Amino acid sequence: MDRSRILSNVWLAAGLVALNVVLFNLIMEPVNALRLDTTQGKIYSLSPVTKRIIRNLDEKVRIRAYISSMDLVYEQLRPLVPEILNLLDEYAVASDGKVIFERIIPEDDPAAEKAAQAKYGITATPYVFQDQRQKGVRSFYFSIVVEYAGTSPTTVSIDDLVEPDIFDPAEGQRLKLKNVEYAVTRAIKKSVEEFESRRDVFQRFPHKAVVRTYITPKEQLPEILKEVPEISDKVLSDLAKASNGKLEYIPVPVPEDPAEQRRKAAELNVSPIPFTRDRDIYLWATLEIDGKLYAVMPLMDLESGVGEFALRQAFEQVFRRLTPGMQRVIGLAQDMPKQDPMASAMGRPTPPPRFGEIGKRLGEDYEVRNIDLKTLNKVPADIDLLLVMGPRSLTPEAVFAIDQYVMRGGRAIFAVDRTDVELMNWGRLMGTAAKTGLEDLLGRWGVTLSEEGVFDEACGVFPWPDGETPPGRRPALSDHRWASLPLVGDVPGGVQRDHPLTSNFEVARFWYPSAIETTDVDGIETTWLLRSSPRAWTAPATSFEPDFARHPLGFPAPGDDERGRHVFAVALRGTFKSWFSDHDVPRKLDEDTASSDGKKEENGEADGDKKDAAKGNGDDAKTQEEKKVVSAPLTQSRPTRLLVIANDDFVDDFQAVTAQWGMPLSFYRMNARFFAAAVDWMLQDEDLQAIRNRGRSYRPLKPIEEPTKKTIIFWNFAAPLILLVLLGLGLMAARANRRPMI
Amino acid sequence: MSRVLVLASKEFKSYFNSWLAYVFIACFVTVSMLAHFYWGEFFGTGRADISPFFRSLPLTLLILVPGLTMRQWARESEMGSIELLMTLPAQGWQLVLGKFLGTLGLVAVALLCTAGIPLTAAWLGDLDWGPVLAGYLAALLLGGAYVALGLFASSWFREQFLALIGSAALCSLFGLMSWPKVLGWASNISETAVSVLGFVGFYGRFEAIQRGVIDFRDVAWYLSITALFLFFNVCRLHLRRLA
Repeated sequence: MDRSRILSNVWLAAGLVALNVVLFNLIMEPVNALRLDTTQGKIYSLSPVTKRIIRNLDEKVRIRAYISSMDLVYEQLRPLVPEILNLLDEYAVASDGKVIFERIIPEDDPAAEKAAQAKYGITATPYVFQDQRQKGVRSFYFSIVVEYAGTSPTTVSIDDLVEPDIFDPAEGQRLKLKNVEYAVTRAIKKSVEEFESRRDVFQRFPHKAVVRTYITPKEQLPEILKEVPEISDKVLSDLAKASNGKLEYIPVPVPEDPAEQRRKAAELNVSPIPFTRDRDIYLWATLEIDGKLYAVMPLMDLESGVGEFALRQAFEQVFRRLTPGMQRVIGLAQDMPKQDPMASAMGRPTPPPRFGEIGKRLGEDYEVRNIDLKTLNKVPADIDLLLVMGPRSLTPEAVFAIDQYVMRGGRAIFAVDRTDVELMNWGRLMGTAAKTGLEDLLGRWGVTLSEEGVFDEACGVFPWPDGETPPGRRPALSDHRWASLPLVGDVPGGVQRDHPLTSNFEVARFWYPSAIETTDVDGIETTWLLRSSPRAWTAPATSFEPDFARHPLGFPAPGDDERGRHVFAVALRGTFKSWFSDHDVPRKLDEDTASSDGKKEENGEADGDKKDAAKGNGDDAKTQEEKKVVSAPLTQSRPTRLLVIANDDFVDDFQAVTAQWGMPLSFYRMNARFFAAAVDWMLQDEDLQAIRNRGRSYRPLKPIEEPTKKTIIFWNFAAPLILLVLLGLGLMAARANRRPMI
Repeated sequence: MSRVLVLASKEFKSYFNSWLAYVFIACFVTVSMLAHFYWGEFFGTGRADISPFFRSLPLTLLILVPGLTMRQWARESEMGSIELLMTLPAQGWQLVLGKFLGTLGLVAVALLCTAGIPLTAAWLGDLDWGPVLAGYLAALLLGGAYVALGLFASSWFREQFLALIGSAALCSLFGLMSWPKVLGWASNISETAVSVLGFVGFYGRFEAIQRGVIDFRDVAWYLSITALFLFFNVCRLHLRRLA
């Protein structure tokens, strides 16, 4: 064979092999089933729960990821995009064709961008970022829309997908993915539920509704609002048609004459919107329920215009809210801040409630209703789960209300402790013993909270001044380990792994918790869930002022014989006896009952037969008898479950604020995650709970002193280098020995 | 195959007969430790997580591996020993594979010298070993691909310095192609460009494996590129023999 022939054969072979390699990899590219997730808990794979949910869907689910092109997305988010898209891809693969996934780059597809805004209310979201080089706001698309059966869209926003990670001094705030599977599966479930409930909403809607629109004609509206009349007409006509006559839609024309316009507006209880100096416009809808004005709704949002999606959502939410049993309701019972007349006169807003952030977080999944513990005398009947947060000296009426709520089979979480700790300023910490008012009630169910706080060697860190601060100077803070901030889940035997709520529990940090002691009560099964290390102890509330100069953990520690484990959380299940079965009903309620027919009806829920028996008697003696019967409390509950957490501070807004100071100081996210999982468990959405608890992202290092750190770093550098030198010397010696003798 | 192993062993030992192996390992360990303990703030984050070390590897290997491969064929050409090599009773593929395995062995030893990083994390916390093992697998695959690219580049040059430049250029082409910044620039051109670069480049695939997900497609791509460039290298030897 001549040389040139061989040469060309070599080139040909090289080309063909290269082509084969590329083709092989291109063919393999769509095959995404061959992967091995090596992480503990398989955190990068779909869970069996999600796979079961998506395979059992009756209709098709369409998942659309609206994510801008990489150049528009904030740099820190870019590496996270492929992870999200891969996982969404896996939904499609695992669903046997039930899930269709597509990624849309809105900027490249103006029609899709417009449709996203109109149909789903998706717009480029301003994202505030800060890193070493820059700080600012950037707008881009970063949302996922899940649609079931072509309707019921649910949006997963950037906040559901991403959260701040550690603060890197070199690169600024790093970001990491949240539990994307949880967010997407939750959206699928929500979408399915909405689809089902939408089918039912008007069938179960118990009222007669009338919607009147009062909208300036299209040609007189500014460009950005020109679509409003058409969209609102379409949405409301559709809803009226689907309502089986329960919703009437009446468009009220806006007259030509301005004076007539205003008169008509006043009649409808709406006001003119100034547009130009001599012209007003009207974009209103009024909603009447059973002949009474229920809401006046503006049909515009000047920032983004009005969308079909937003409008439909707004109306459907109203109807759902007015239809009993359409959404799970959580009662967030806490001491609501009082409005100070002086402060409001000076324009100062009322301070937010103490558990506002956790309420907001839970509001993503449930309807959260605030309940003021100070004035509580009856828990509304439609509350599915009651959260009793940080109660202080509850009134007997409030205790009665909670007791009777449980007797009706209601579920409740108590976040309670018996110490008040106030951070006065960077130098004083006030600790006082407090009463919850629930001591007797919880005691009846076998739960006692210690008056003393728990201190533990397994504890978190918190910044604190190192010494005396000269007047007018900012104190120098450094991180100290605080025995009064027990870190739960970080020590062996601290978590009940056999319980569904805590089987995958990561970690939580409590703040001056009480200790729970339990006693056996007939009919109640008690399970401890979280407890301290065996090196914990209790001390009175007055000893909360740390002294790091004298004690490494801030507080004097007792000897080994006074130490032991202390329980922080217990789950109770069974039938509960009322405290009021052998104690008097609070007098005020008794009087109220006697004076109010309405109250009779409410208490009648507790004992319908007795109420019926008492009805219709006219004489005084019988009326007195009736009062007693009507006010008689339920004495034993239906089977239900309760959760008691011996700390109220761990999810309050102060923790949320410290979370913004940067990791690893704050455990708010971990605490809130545990609390949200507890809510899911209490409401028995065990599917979501199983996904929420998947994996384990928090793996803390053992606390070590600074010199030890330096030693570890030194040996990590030095050991391989020393070994290398020894190897070199050994090889040199071996070579010298092998050198032939001349 | 035993001939390949003999050749690989000879190459591996020859690294330790010069300063190259020591300088390579010392530099590799130092950069890795700095990346993990200082730039990655291992103690600052307070977590048993060694991803900062793995995230530094694509760049560390990209800089150091061409230094190993530059001497292979280029040095043989420079010293004239390549002609002697051609007369050995070994086939081209055996010579190439021997050099490849010898060099990859040195990369593996360097990686082994960083074992202190996961051991420290495991001692101080509850380390998830799955991503650690996946990370080391990713590093070996990436190191192997760089070695194959570097050997191929080295076979085209007679001077070691030029071989170094050539190796570095070729490795950078593949190594940096799917770097986030490069993808960011590419997205200004078109989304197709981003997809192509993401498909061809090593970085994105390395990131996926090091976080703990061993995807067949990523492993197949690394092995394909490695095999392809080793084959090119054999072809190059063939051409040399003809010359």
